[in-house]
Amino acid sequence: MLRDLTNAIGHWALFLGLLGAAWSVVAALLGARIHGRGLQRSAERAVLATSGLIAVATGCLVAGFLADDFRLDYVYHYSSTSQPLPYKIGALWGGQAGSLLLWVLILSVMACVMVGTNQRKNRALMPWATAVVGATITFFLVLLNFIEPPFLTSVARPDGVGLNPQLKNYWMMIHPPCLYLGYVGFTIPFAFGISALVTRRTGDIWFRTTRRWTVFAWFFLGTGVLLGAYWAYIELGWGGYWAWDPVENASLMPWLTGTAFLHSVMIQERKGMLKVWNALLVILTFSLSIFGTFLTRSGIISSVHSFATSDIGPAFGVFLALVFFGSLVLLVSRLDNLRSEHRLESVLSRESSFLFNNLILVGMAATVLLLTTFPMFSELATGRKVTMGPPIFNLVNIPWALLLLALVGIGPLIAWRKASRENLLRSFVAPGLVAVWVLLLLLILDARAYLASAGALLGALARLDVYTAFQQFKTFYPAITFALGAFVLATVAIEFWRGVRVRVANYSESVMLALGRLVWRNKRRYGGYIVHVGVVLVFFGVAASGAYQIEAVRELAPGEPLIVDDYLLRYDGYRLVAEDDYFGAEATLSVHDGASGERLGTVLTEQRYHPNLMFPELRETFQHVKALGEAGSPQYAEGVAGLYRLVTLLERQAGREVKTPSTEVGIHSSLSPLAASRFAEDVYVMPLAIDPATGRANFRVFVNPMVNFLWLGGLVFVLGAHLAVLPDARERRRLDAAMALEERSVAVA
Amino acid sequence: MTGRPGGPPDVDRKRLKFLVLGCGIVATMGGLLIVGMSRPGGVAYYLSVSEFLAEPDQAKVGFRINGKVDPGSIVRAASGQDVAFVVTDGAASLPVRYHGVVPDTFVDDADVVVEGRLGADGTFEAHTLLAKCPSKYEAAIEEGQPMPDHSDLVPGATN
Repeated sequence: MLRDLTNAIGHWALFLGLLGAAWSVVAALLGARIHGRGLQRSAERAVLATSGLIAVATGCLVAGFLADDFRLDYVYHYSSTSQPLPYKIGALWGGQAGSLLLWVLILSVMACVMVGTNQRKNRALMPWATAVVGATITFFLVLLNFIEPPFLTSVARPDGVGLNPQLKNYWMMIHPPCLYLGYVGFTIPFAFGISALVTRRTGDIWFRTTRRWTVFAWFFLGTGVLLGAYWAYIELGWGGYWAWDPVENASLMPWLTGTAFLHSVMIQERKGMLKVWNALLVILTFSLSIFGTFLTRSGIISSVHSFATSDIGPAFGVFLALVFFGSLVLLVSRLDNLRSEHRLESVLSRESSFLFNNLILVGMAATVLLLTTFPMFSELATGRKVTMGPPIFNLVNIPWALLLLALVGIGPLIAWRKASRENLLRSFVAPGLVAVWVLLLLLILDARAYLASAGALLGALARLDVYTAFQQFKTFYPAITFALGAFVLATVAIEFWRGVRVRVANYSESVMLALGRLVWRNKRRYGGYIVHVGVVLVFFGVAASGAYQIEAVRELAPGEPLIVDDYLLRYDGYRLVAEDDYFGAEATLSVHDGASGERLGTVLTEQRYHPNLMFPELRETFQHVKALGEAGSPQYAEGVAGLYRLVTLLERQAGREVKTPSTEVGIHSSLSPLAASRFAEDVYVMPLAIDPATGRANFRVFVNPMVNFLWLGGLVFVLGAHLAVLPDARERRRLDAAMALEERSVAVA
Repeated sequence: MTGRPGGPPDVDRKRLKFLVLGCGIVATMGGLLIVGMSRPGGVAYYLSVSEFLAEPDQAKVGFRINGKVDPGSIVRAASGQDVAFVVTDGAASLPVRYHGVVPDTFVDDADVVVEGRLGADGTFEAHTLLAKCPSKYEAAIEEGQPMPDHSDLVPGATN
C-alpha cells in the first residue's frame, strides 16, 4: 500500500512539475515584456516549486529501488535483490527514464542556484534567462510525462533483471552524473547568452556573470570524458581507452567548443572583439550538449556504449532544431548590436593565437560531428549507411591536436595587439630551445627507426602518395608530442618564475610565499596554466601508450612464467568463487622484473559469469553454493565447479546461453618515481578463458607505457579547474564595475 | 568605428593574411578528411544480413554487418578468443568466425556488428566484433519450461 502511494506521488509530482515549469516560462516572458517584477517573481517561484517536485519524484523512484519494488518496470529492469546497495542507487541512471530524470533534476538544482544568486543583480537579463531554463526543464518533463514515464507498473515480480554487469563498476556509477553535470551546466551560460541577445545587452556581462558556470560545466564534462576513458580502460579489456565511439564523441564535442568559448571570451573582455563568435560558440556548445544527450540516450547511431534504444528520438530532434535554428535566427537579427570594437592587427598577437586555437577546436568538433553522423546522412542521401572507422578520426585529428598543443604554449605568452621582436625573443627562445633539445634527443635515441621512416616518407612524397607519407609521419608523432609538451611546460615555468621573481623583488617575500600568493591572487590565470600542464600530461600519456603498447597472448598452467617486454609474470594460481550475483575463477599473477627477478607486485584478475537466475534450478544452486562460501565450507570450490557443469548442461538443454560473462581486468601500475624507466607504466592482464578443473588459463597481457600520465594529467586538470573557479576578489571587483557601467549606460539611453 | 568597409590598403592586406591562414587550416583539415575517406580500412558499408547477402560483390572488403546473435549458435573455443556463431536479422542469417577478444556483451540475442570479409567456405571471417547487450533474460521467463533435477552436480544441494 505504501509503495502504491509513493509511486502515485512520484507520478503526480512529475505532472505538477510540468505545469510549474510551463508557468515559469509564461510568467517569465510576460514579466520580461511588461517589466512586472511580480510576474518575474512568480516565474522564479515556479522554478523553485518545480525543482522541489522533481526532487520528490526522484526520491520516490530511489525509494522504489531501495524497497525492491519490482512492480515498477524501471526497477525491475535495472535492479535485482542481489544487487549491492550502491548499485541499487546507481541503477537510477542505468536506463532511459532515470537518466532523463537525473538530467532534469540537476538542471532544476542549477536553476534554483541561478534564481537564488540573481535576486538583486542581472534583473534585466533574468526574465529571459529564466524563460530559457524553464523551457528546457519543460521539454524534459514532457519527455518524462508522456514518452518515457519512470513510474509505469505491472504485475508483482519476485526479482528483477538487474543492471548490465558492465555498468556495475564504481567509475561507471559516477561517470554519467559527471557528464550530465557538464551537459546541463552549459544551459545557464546559454540562457544568459540568449537573454543578452534578446534584450540587446550584448556587452560582456552575460558571459562574465556566468563565467563560473561555464568553467563548472566545462570541468565536469572534461572529467566525465576522462572517467569514461578510464572506465573503458579498466572494464572493456581491450587495453585501450578511446575508440571514437559515438557516445565518446558526443561528450567530446561540446567540451571542445566549450574550451574554445572559455578562451575566446577573454578576447571580448579585453578588446570587445569576437562578439558574434562568442554568442555562436555558446549556442553551439549548448546545442552539442543536447545533441550529446540525444546521441547517448536515443541509440540513433549504433554504439557499443549506448545502453539505450527508444522513442525519444523525434522529440529530441524537434527540440534540438528549435534550439539551434531559433538561436541562429536570433543571432542574425542582432548582428548590428554585435559589431567588433577593434580589429585584429597582426597575425603574431595574442588575439590571433586565440583565434587560431578557436578555429582548430571548433574544426575538430566539426570533424568529429561530421564523421560521427556520417552514417545518418549517407543513408539519407544514398540509402546506404557508410560508417567511419577510428583510423580516419586519428588521421585528421592528431595533426591538429599537435598544432593546438603548440598554441597552448604560444597563446599565454605572446603580446596583445602585435608581438614585438623583443616579446618573441624574450618569451620563446628558451622554451623553443628546450623543445628542440627534447626532439633531437628522442630522435637520436631511436635513430635507426626514425631514419627508416624518414626515408619511406620521402619516397612516398616523391610518388605523391599523401596517405603513405602520412602513415610514415605517424612514427614522429610521439617525439613531436614530447617536444611540444616540453615547450608548453617551459613557457608555463617561465610565467611562474617571472611572477615569483617580481613578488620576491617588490615585497621581499620568500620564494614559496611569493608562489602561493601569486597563484592565490590570480586564480583564473594561474589555474589556467595548471590546466595547461594537465593537458600536456594527457598528451604525453596518449602519445606514449598509443605508440609503444606491447601485447602478448599466452596459455599458461598454474605455476608457469611468461616474459613480456622487460617483465616476468608468473601465474601463481587460481581460486573458484561465487559471490554477489556471479560465480567464476580468480587468477593471481605475480609481476617480476625481467632482468633481476625482483618481485614488483601482484595482479588479480577474474573471469566472472552472471548466471541467469530466472532458471529456478540455477538460482537455487547458486544461492546454495554462495552459502557454502559464506560458511567457509570445504565443499565450496567443488560447488563452484558444479555450477560450471550445471550451466553447461542447462545451456545444452535450453539451446542458448544461461550466463552473462564479465571479465575483471588486473592492472599493475608502476607509480614510484624511483623506477624512472617504468614510471606511470601499466601491466594490464585479462583472462580470455580459465578452465575451472585444471586452472589452465589463456591470458592477454598488455604493457602500456606512460598510460598513467593520462589519469595524472586528469588530476592536475581537476586541481587547476578548481583553482580557476574559486571566488576571486579581483574578478569580482571587475565584474561589479562592469555591471555598474552597464546599468548607467542603460539608464542614460 | 573601425567596422567600415574599404579601410586603408594596409588593413586589407592584414585581413588577407588572416583569411589565407584560416582557410589554410580549414583546407588542410578537409584535405586530410578526403585522403582518409578515400582509403580502405576506415570507411565501411553498414548493412543488415539480408542486404549483405543481396550485395553483388561480397568478397570486397569494407562491410560492417549488423544483426543479432542467433540464440544457441555460439560456439566458444577453449582459448577464449575464437568464437563461431550465426548472425541473423530475422529474415536471413550468416555464419561468422571471429578471432580476437570477445566482448563481455557478446551473448545470445545480443546486437552485434561484425567487420571483415566473406571466406571461401561461405563463412564471414570477422576481424572486429562489437556487441551490445540485449534486453537480457526475458526470453527465459516467457518460455518458463520445467527444468529437470540436477542437484547431483553440486555436492550437498537440497531442493
